[in-house]
Amino acid sequence: MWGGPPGPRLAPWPASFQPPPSRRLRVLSRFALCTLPFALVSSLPAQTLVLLPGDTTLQGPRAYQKLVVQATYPDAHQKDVTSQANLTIADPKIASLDQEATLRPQADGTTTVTATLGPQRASLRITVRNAAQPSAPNFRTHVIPILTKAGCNSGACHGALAGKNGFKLTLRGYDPEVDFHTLTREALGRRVSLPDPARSLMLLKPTLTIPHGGGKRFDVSSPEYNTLVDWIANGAPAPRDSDPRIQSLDILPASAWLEPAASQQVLVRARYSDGHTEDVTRYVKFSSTDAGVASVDDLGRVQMTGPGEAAITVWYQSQVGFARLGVPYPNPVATSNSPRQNFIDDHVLRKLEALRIPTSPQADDNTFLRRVYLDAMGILPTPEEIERFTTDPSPDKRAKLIESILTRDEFTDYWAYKWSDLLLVSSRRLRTNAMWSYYHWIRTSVASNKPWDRFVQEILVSSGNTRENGALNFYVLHKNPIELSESVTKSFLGLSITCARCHNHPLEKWTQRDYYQMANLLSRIGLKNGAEAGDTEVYTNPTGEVNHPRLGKPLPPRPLDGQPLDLQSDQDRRRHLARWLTSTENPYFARALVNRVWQNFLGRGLVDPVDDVRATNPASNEELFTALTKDFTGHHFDVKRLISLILNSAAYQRASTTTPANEKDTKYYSHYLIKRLPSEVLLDAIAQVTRVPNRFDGYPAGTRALQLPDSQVNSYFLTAFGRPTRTNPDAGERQQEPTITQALHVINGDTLNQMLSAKDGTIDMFLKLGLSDAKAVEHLYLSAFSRPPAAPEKSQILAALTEARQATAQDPLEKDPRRKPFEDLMWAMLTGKEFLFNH
Amino acid sequence: MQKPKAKGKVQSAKRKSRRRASASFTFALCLLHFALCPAFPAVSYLQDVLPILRDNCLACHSSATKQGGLVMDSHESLLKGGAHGPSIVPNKSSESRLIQMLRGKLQPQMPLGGVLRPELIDTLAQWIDAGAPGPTPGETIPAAAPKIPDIRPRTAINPEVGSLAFSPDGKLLAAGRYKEVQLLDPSTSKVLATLTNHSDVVRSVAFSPDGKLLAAAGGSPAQFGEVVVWSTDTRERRATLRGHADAIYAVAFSSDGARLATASYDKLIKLWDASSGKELATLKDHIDSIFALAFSPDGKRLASGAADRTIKLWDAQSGRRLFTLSEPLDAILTLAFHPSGKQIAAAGADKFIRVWDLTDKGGTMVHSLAGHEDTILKLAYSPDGKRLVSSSADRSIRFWNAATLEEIKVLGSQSDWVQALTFSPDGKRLAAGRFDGSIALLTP
Repeated sequence: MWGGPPGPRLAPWPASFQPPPSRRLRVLSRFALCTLPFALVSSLPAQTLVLLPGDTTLQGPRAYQKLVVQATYPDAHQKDVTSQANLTIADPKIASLDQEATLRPQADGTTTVTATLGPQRASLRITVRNAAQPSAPNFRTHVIPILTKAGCNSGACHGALAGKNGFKLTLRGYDPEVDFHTLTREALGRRVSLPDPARSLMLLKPTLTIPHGGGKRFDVSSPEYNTLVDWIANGAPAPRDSDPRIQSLDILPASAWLEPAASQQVLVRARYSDGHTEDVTRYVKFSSTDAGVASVDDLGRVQMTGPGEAAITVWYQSQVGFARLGVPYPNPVATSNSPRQNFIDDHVLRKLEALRIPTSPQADDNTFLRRVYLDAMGILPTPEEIERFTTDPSPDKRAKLIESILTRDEFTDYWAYKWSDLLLVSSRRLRTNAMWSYYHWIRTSVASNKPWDRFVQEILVSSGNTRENGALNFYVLHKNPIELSESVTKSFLGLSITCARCHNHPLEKWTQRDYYQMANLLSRIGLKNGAEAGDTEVYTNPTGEVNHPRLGKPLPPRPLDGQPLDLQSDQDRRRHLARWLTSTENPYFARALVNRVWQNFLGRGLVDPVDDVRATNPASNEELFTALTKDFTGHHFDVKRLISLILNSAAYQRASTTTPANEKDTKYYSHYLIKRLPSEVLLDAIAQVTRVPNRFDGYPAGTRALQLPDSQVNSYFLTAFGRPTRTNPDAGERQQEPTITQALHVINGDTLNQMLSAKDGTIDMFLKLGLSDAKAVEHLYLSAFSRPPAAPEKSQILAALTEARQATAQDPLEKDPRRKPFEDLMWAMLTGKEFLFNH
Repeated sequence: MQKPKAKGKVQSAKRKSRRRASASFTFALCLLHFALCPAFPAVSYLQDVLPILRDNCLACHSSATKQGGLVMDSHESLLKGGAHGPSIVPNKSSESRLIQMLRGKLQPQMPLGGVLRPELIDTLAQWIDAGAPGPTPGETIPAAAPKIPDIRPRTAINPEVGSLAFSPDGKLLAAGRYKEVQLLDPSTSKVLATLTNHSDVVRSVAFSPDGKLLAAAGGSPAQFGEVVVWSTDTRERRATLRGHADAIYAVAFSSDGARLATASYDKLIKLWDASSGKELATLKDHIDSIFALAFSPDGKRLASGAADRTIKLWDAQSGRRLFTLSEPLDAILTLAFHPSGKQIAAAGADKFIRVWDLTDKGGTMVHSLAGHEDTILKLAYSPDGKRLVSSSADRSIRFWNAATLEEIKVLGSQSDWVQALTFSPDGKRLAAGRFDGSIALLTP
């Protein structure tokens, strides 16, 4: 069952992906398709044909447009049938078509192009204007893109800081005016020869007519050469302020489900400020987000390489976008039995159905209980809690459990810790009392479920004393506008704009201007020492600017792509930023938070990495992401509600066991993704099971690792297991990868071994109470694994315990022969995967 | 001693064996021939190997660029190798560094601009295995013959003025333009003669001190530099000097007119004998393109200014580098000695005019003035040493008090960049040549 007909043609992901109207038809066709091989399906007549890019205007003799004939089949999958279709032009005097299905202008007028394939037809109107009017290529819109696509101004070549061989271009053409002077005037104009255009150095080199360290970039017969030599022959006209500017890109097809190993041409058309459009496919930088699913060449020809979904991302002159192409897995589909608890499941299952990935069954009560306790609170359920939950007969017990979790102190501890990671709470750069006031402010906010927009606003717009208002410590940590603006965008928008500090961002639409306009919003924050050490007064300065480094002057403060403020305006710049940042219209703010929370529970963000929510890194399920974000902003940025929705979904409650058909899925939530417990949770869990509380220098006994406000607290275990240093808000700071150090520490190191041999722990409890082996084993299993031991496990362990006790009894040094076997058993359990991982 | 038997029999036997011997000898020769000359045609250094190297390697491994100390533009230099030793081992392609780097067995894989097609690498390997023979005497280098399309400009063009110079008697103004030098009458601005057949823009012109010779320097960028020495009276070509690997940006006669100095984009200064055209010396120290060059008024020293942000002073006789002035923050495009020889001024992309006091041992910066709003293109001292004039990409010409660098006058709104600026010998006129091709004779 395919996902349905494609959405509207503009990127990004279409708003809806509707299944066919008739449910019966859906069931029947699904059944039929389970058995039909693909080849058979596409040999059925196409249901519809579309001639991309649709109606077109060719302006000027130089214009052209490549065409693609796209067929849609009864099951809604698509195919590029350009090579099989028959293309004709009604009036060949107006325009011509060549072997590559490219339209070229002949004379002014309008005509129709028609494509036929079997009984299906499609057509588009082509209008030609100014076909006879000679026009010179435009330096800004034609020459710079060619230099960019040919790699001339890349960072490895002439776009490097020092250029190459004395020739320096701005990186990827971010400053056409400077490049124009370099090319036409620098060094007494050695690079362009107006009287003899083809002898210009800028053409002799890249065609390898004379030696060139960069090799051959294009041929003398290529369109690139022709455009450049035309530009020179027309007197090498300069870029002008009145040049048309790019406003947007049409990327077609915007989304499609294709056949296995299909080829698909992607078209890119640029729309300019003066209304005209141009086919820029040839000059776009293409890349694929998943080479295992699709690969793309320099000309936008995509080759599907495996099942799944990939985005073909497009970069052209700081405009970005993507096309979504996918191929379902070669499985028969059977998701109709998967439970649906809320809208999350509707979206998750729709995607899984389209991809033909079957779901795993739901997790049993024991598994679910342990999982949700660890994911939401970072603690293990006690044997009593397990007993109560598993014997509860009510059908909505899971929902009730989730509700009660949201009110617990441990829930508040866990999420206060998580936001402390984000806000970099530590004694590394803050005095102890300042750190505590920061932490307490965060914890209070979590406890009261402060809406996320208010949470961020309070950080951004407050003034006053950092001891009284802990949130202000944010400004003590990041002291200059550059650091501040990068931190704000990374933490709250999930965007990394650092690249744009020195040049236009190579992967995104952010320019260097955007970067410095953003930084100028944070240029008026004043800091003064307060009365005590660790006290700082934060206030708004009436003056202060950040200069753009090359222009040497400040730019109007403007939040990324929001509205700018006048430089002279006396409006509070921080408020302006906060308003834009936390607005329900801001496309990045809510998404960044939703993605972080989602990743905490499901193991992989809808966007991965979790804080790389950029336009060229699309979500694995865009409809779900949009729906979740809409719900979040529509309910006043209520974090607890979001968590509740996620926990109650069937997607979250699935088992982690896989089937051969879904074991390769790591993106679409067909099963729960196993993850290693974070360092603090692990340390606390060991303490909980051994009943030996952790001791942290300077903190009262019994403080759990998740209650620590400071990432600097000395703990070899925490460091080894990847505790973040809280130096910068990068989610990658917390290391979840397993390492040898961890394995060795857990096996041989002090932490676990000391806890096992400590007094008054679980083992002493067993000994004092005189518990039988069987009872002890059961208690340990419930405590560590949240489940009773299965019968074969139990009998094997009991036998081993008996044997071990007999061996220990021989040792005169051992006081109680029962102790060591229990220690060994606990060691085996606590160093095993079932304990160390959440599954 | 054997009794001779029937003569015929012995002779025939001998003959037979001789025939047999000659047959096997011929056979052996054939074998030797086939062993030495494989069935496929021999790979020629000049016809097959050099074109491959020229297209793919010489950008970085020419005598001017010499990456890794390796020059690949001649057979000897290939055998000699570079910093890592010989690049080819004759007869052993697999042990040759050249082949190992081309195939990626040694990193980084060459060429850096994109790996060679396997057939080309095989050709080189074949040549090495055949003993890496050099060019046979008398063999000529095949012409590079780049296929350059013939494209004509579609708009009216006024090619730039690259350089200007007054003759010592003030009666001629030489203007270096595209592929030609115009000799103008400064009083009427009429073109008296056009000296043609230069290879590209004439980027520097200089009269000899006695006015009899005119050196016009230029060359094809990234290909070669050339100076054409003309006779001022007969307007005939006297000599063509070639040797630089890139265009020449500055040329100057020594004060006795016996020698010429040239400075080029290839980072080298060369000294030549002005009458024979023989290359005398190469001065190598700059690490980037050299744009400015001048002999000191007493002829004893040479000053050069380059894109590496330095001015270097050299002993004009021996070519020894004396010292370097490195205060500038960006490329130097122009320099001028004060007529007294005691100071030197230089300027360029950092928009500052700097003046140094000069001694035998070094220079002390005495002025550093943010003179213009954009790159400074040309500096010139008035012959009386009282004023310094500068032109800039900000389209202005500014006059300064030479001693104090106070601004005296500004001629703004020039129609385009003034790339050539020179005083008449009597100091009464200032010639300005612009990027738009216009020449103005201003009153300074």
